[in-house]
Amino acid sequence: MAAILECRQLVKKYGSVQALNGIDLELPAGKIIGLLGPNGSGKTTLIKLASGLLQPTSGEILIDGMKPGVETKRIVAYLPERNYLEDRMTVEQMLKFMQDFYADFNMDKAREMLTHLDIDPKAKFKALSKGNREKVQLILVMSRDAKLYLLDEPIGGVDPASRDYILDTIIKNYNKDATVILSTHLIADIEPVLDEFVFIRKGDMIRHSTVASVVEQGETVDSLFREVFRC
Amino acid sequence: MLGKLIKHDFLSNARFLGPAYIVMLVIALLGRFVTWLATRKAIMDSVAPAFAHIINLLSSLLTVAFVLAPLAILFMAAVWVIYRFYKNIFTDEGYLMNTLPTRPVNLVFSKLLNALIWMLITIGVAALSWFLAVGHLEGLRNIMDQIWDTIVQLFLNNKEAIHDQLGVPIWLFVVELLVFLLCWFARFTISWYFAIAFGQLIAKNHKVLGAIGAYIGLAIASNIVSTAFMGILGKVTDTVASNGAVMQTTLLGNSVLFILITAVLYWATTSIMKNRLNLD
Repeated sequence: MAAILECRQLVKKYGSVQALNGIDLELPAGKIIGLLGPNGSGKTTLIKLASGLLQPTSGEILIDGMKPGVETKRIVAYLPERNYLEDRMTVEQMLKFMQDFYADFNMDKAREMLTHLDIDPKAKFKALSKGNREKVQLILVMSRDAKLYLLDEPIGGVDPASRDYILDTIIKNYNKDATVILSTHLIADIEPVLDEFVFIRKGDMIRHSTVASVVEQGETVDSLFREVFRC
Repeated sequence: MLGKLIKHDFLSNARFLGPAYIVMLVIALLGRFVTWLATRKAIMDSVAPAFAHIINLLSSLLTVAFVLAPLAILFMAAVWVIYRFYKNIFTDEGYLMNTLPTRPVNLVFSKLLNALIWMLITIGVAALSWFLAVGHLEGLRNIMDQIWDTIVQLFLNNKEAIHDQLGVPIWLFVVELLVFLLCWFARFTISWYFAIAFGQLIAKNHKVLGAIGAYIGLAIASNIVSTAFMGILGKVTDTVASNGAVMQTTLLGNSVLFILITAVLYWATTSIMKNRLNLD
């Protein structure tokens, strides 16, 4: 199957600090892939490059064969680690905003998830807790019928009880031909849903494998991560 | 897509400015009421002297406040539309706005147009609040009569003389003046947009300071360009005889200069957003 995301000698520098050191990577469509590494390893930088928020210093990154731009933004659903919601906006207004800008946004699916998570659509974002705002952002992303989902720390700020629902939401709501890239360091939580994983350390890709190949060797991704990234 | 951006930006501005304007109009009415109280001798005589004193003081303060309010509200709106560009594009909200399937030229245009729309609304609200607070129907009628008389004088009675002074018929001069103001506003706003976009490049950890520094630098550069331009215009106007021609050359020349500066800064701002966006 053709790659949904390709990196060719991808380099990103912030001033004199090199965040990505010439990454070569091909991620296939139709998989749930963990982008794993310790803090500061370059996971968020890679995701921002894919979503068009940053420009590569050199090399290139392609989404479905295209450089990040208007066309790729139509097919990419991006969940940043930041809270981008406007305080004065209500949840319902935000749903309408998404419906206006994304042809693949499914309003019914979004409303259903809000009900399930007991979030009032009439609530203003300033009245919601940090965890609930993160849940709303995830709902906005997972209510799209996108080709590529880029989820940066989707479960970092929510309570453990909600994590299961969120992971369940991710599995249930993504289109089977789509790819989900999950960046996190909470590996044990997401391991059950992963097909593949990529380890990143200090801007270098050090491993890209299927979860099945790790399990075959009697290991888990979590134990492998602890072994590889031992301080 | 551009229409949707304009719509949502309008609504977003309305969520902040709308309530502020409603509060302002309500305070204006309250001010009117207090002033009315202060002029009712029967009421003032019947309340305690201290209370009457407070009403008088409040009435004077509110009157002064509402004479100054139009300026304050215009300043607030100008700061808001500039701040909104920064907040919506270059802070956390930018994670949403810059990943929408649209080009930066559309994002900037929607902000620029909304800045203009909201400044016009603000002028309307400022005028209305002033009228509610201190205006009188009789006074308004007088002002309207005076405006009408002036229009009649300018457009009908002294058509020829005015034409000689302005170089063009008065209606065309009014259009030119409106175009000039529009160009000035576009140049003013886009200068700030550019300073904000450029500021995040030069000062990654102090974006606001970077923007202010960039604006100061840009203002100095703009002044140099304007002075040089006025010098050239001066040479041109020296060679023409009538006042009208001088007026026309200055007005149209500056409008063209503002359009050129706006176009260059618009291009520079969208180029930075497209190629050098730095959302960290």
